[in-house]
Amino acid sequence: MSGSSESAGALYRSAQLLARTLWRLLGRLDVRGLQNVPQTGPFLLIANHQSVLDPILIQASVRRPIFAMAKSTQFNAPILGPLMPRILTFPVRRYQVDPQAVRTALKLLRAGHGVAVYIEGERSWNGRLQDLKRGTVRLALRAGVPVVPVVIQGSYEAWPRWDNRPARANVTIEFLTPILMPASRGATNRAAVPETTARLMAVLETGLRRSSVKA
Amino acid sequence: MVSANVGPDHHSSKELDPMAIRDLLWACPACARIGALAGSGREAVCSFCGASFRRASGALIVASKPEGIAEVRSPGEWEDLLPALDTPVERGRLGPQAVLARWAHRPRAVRHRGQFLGWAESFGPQTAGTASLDPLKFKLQLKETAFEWPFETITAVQPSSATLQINGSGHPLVSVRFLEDSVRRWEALLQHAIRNRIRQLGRGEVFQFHPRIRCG
Repeated sequence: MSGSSESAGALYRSAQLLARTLWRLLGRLDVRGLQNVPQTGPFLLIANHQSVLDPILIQASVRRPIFAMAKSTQFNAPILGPLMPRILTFPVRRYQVDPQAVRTALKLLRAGHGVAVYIEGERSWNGRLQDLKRGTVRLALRAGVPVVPVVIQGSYEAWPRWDNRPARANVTIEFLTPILMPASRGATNRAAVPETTARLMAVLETGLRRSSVKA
Repeated sequence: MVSANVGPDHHSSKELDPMAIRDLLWACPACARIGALAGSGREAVCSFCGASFRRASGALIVASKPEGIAEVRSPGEWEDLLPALDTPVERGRLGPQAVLARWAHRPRAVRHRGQFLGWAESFGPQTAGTASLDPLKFKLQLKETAFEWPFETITAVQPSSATLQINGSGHPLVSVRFLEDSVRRWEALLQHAIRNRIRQLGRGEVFQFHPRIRCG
């Protein structure tokens, strides 16, 4: 998988095109800050999670292929399951710490790819930003690659977790200024988690507020 | 705090829409009756006070009260009006509630072009039964067999779409679908009960429920 972002492009590119085309039927998609996504080299994209639409719209918005961590049960879903690795996703088990998901993410980053993680660990029930997962913060600290915070707004209005179908809504995605963190492991990594979590939370909160004012 | 009245644990024998307003609003925000909202999809009606809640544009929810007053709020604002969670559990029991439960199989290795990407869980066939909470444990009664999770043995709690998934020592991961109640309500109540138990045991405050319960 580590070398497959270009060669696996056909299905991924088709999915991107399909997502952009179909979304035009449901609403407007306003994408800002694309210049903050590195053109080359590894980066970790960290986004809030409002809706099932988030990974589809975020990955459809960036020209460069992005690998994404997705809940493992989706890989056993009929039809979609077998396609998941081909649209550049890899599984994470959600009911226990999953070191393999971390290893896969680090391997992809070391190979120079972009990796997306939804740092709240699940979709928001009420549209508000939830606590950030420490495991993802530790991954960011361990990787030592640029972290690109992303705020997505409006997808909750389009398809909240408690509804069974989407509705029309305008969605804004803003890629924020990358944050550079030195790589750390062990005790240094653990010690940096609280401060880094607070920093990322503040960045996402500020981004969401600004994004909602602009919208 | 709004006073919490415990409503009927059984609304009807009909299986409700798994993704619905009543998953979010597990009590009626108008009268605070827990478990009183019934309905599927984008509309729910309180069986106690008659207020109805339906989805409007932009994920707003409109409440119409029997006296004809309409009120529009965001989901978060409605959620803020839900009653405190301590009442049912501290009274001792919740349920039994009709459920469909599935046990996780051994995870499958996911590979792509010969490279190992990770592990994926899948679940076995559904078994009908009931779920209940008592002051010290979560219980599932599936056919003739009872399964129990003392709160301190539970290692993770998380809803996934329409099911509540519980991991704990002594049992494999289980996925529980509530046929006549809100998955969000059970998630919140179970988390509340675990938080209380961990505190009682002097292990500190829970700050995370998944992928693993963490306290300190």
